[in-house]
Amino acid sequence: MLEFSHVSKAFHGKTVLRDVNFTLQKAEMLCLAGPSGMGKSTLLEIAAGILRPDSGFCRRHTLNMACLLQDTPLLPWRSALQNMDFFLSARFSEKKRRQKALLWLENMGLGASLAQKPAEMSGGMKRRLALACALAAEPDLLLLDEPFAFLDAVWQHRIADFIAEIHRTQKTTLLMVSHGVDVLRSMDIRILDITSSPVILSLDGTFL
Amino acid sequence: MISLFFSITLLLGLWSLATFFLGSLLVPSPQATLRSLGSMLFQLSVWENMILTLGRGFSAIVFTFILALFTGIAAGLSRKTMALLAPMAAVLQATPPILWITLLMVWVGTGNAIPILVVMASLFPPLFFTIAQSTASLDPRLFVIARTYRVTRGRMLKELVLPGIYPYILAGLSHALGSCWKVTAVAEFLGSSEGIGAQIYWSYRMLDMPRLFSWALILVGFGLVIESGLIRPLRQAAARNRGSHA
Repeated sequence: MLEFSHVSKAFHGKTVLRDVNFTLQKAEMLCLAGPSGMGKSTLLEIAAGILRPDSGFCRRHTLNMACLLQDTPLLPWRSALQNMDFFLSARFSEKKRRQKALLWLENMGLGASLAQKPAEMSGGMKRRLALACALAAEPDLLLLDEPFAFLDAVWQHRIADFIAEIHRTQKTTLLMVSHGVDVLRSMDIRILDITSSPVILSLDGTFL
Repeated sequence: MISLFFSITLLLGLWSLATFFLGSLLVPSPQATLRSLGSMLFQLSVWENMILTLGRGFSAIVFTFILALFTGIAAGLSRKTMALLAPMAAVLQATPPILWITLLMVWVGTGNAIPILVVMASLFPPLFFTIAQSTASLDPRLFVIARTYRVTRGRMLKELVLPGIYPYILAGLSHALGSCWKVTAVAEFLGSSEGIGAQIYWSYRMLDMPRLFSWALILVGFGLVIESGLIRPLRQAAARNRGSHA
């Protein structure tokens, strides 16, 4: 579903990723954990197609992808419901879009904030709105950068449950970057701790 | 209201003083001008000229806006298009209207084309740059995420680009509207036989000063009506929308 082959990336002369090789099969889940500044988000952004590797390639075997960035932008001039409608517009019919938007906004505790614009929301609400977009999209490949950031413990566990449920029912392939791995213990997810930079990942998925 | 009354009184006082010192042949009195204006308003040709100028100004602004919207968005979204179009717009901006009027008089003769094309040449560059720069300043990550979700280009244009640049479009339009009728009148003065600008020219040629001053009053009236009826509401809407985009 997702293939990294000899991917390297440097910023301003500093190598962040060096010769990263790994493959995620359908329904596999991988979480990259570890301190900030190690290149985890860079790896995820290459997976999402936002950044291009300096060398090597990243291949996605699906077009049905959803992505949550560290600071996922939302349409500032549109309400929560309209934001979901926009991001899901290519995926579902208008009627189904509305049903899914209402369901996921309710799931994310935003049922009373349908008409609110992002500027009127707290950091946690915006995060849940962006997550609602990603999870409602029914993606084959789900890329999540710090999905539990800005959220309290109750919401962290609730969202971990939603992710696990989506993985179970839709066989979603998941690549995640997260500091808080405790909340993932209940999920059948491979967690790789990255503690040194640059990230060098071998073919069998073991960090060197 | 009191300040407006004071302001008008002061203006009429200065006008009367100018009449007194320079003579009514050069500066007709406010009373003579109003008499002339009153009789002009009963002439069909005066209304035809006013409508012609307004029609030319608004046609020019509509054409300019459509052209600037398409090219500006394209330039804002693509650096290559910007590199291609920006120098042309900069040259247009640096070219004085008098040059366009002269060239167009040679190329197309007098008529509607000169005022419309001169207004377009004058207003296109600022509108183009406003639209291009506001499009370029939209959060690039929004486009990236939208592409990840495979949102169509049409939808991105409708829900991401146009609402994002809307307050800047309103501000650009208010500026363009403020300039358009003035440029139209100048272009008519030099390159047309009809319209308010042309009538001012003929009044000047005939040394019919009360009629010239009446046309001036009509022009100023136009400006005030456009300012209060269109430009001010557009500016207020732009300011409100900028606030909601924060």
